[in-house]
Amino acid sequence: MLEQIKQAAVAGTLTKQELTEAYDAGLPGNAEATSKRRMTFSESIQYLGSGIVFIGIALLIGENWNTLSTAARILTTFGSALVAFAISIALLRKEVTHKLGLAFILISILLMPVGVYTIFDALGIKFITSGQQLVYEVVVAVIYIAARWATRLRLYIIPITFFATALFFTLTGMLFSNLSSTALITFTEYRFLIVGLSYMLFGYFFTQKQDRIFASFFYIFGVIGLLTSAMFLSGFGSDKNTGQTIWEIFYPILVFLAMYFSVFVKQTKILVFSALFLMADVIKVSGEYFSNSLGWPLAVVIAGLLMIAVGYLSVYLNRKYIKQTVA
Amino acid sequence: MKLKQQLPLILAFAAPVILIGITALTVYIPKLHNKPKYDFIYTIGSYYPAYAVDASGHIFEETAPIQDGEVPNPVTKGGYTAPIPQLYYYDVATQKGTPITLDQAKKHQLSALEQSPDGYSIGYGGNDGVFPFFVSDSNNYNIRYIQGHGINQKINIATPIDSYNYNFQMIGWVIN
Repeated sequence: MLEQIKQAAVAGTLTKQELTEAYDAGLPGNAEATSKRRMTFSESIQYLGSGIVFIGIALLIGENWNTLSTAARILTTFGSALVAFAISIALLRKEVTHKLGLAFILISILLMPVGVYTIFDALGIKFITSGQQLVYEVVVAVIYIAARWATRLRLYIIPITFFATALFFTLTGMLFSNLSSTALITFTEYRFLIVGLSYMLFGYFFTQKQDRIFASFFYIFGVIGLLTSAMFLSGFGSDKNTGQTIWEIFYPILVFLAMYFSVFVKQTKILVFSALFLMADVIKVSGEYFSNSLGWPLAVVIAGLLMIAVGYLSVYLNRKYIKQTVA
Repeated sequence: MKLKQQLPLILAFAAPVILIGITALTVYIPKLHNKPKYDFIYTIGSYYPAYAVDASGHIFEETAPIQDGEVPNPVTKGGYTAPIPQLYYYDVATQKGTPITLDQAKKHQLSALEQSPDGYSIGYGGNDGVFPFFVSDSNNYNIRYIQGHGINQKINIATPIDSYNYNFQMIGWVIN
């Protein structure tokens, strides 16, 4: 093993800092912390159960919405969310029931937005205006932030992120409500691009903190948001405006940057999605430019060959730079 | 925590703020320099256009004669009738639409082209969806804009538009 480390050091694929961090992570106290981040089968079943409980309550409310009184609606949604939260607090205190507590936290997380919605509905707020949406998103986000502060559970980062993202879209929609249809579409594409970029940066933050689960979560949504919005910004069809042409040229560069970044942070998931988006771009560009000049059959052949090249490149990068250094 | 470790977090929060700033600049700066110069005439009140512009640039009744306050359907030429549309003159300087008669409209020379001579056109408003569900059809037919050269100027239509009929009809740009 030491010989392999020497070779990796000579090749420049392993730094002293990475080696030290890996050693520290393997120490008894830290190793336990690392193992906690791996989800076991029984945990998966518990979380699945939480999801089923949520669906059950949602169906119960949905089917009996008209027959239930306002108080009953609030009790079954917001009340259930509070009860699930209280149970989880009790369970989280003991090491033996800690993971069961997480399952109840999940029920509480899923039910809370429905509960707040029910209260808003009871108050006569019908989510017609952006301002009402904004208040709802702020209220739910604040509840999650308070719960995160009370429980110290990092799981809350996910719903907080979701509602913070919704808040960003609602707020920017309100700030620039005077946009025409075409300008609003472009603005929405840029909003998704920026959200994707922010998620990638959050992912990198968690990479630095050695938290691969949260890093992966943000990288996956980040790379999808970033590359999907950039593709939409480049437009579809051969008749493009200046902005779309610039994005068309920049798009492959952006994908290769994402691929380079995947190697840099050793994340196969970013590499896989980048390769898929590059393949999609190959098909898109072939259809837009080559189908008329070369004809569809030849365009398909070129697209196929390029896709093989992209596939090979991603497998090569994964083997050479990601899998080797992670293993 | 070191600044280097916090930097991605700072940038992640800064990126949306930067987007808001850049968008604000791109929305408001063109308004300082670019202003549409050409007034235009439009109608409200009918799905079907009852007026058009002839080759000499003058407005004429596409469907004549107008009877009993209603105009025959110009498309089917049948018995179906639509409400008579009201003509409006839109002053781009004051951003106001004023009702005018057909005789008043006939005094102006018009351009029925989509774009005004200074490169502006009339577009629809947008509907912002709710995250993460954005509807594909984002046109808001109740609102119209003067668009071009980086500006989106909302048209203050005098009469509320019936959204089912989206009955704003652009007749032409006033050349003189």
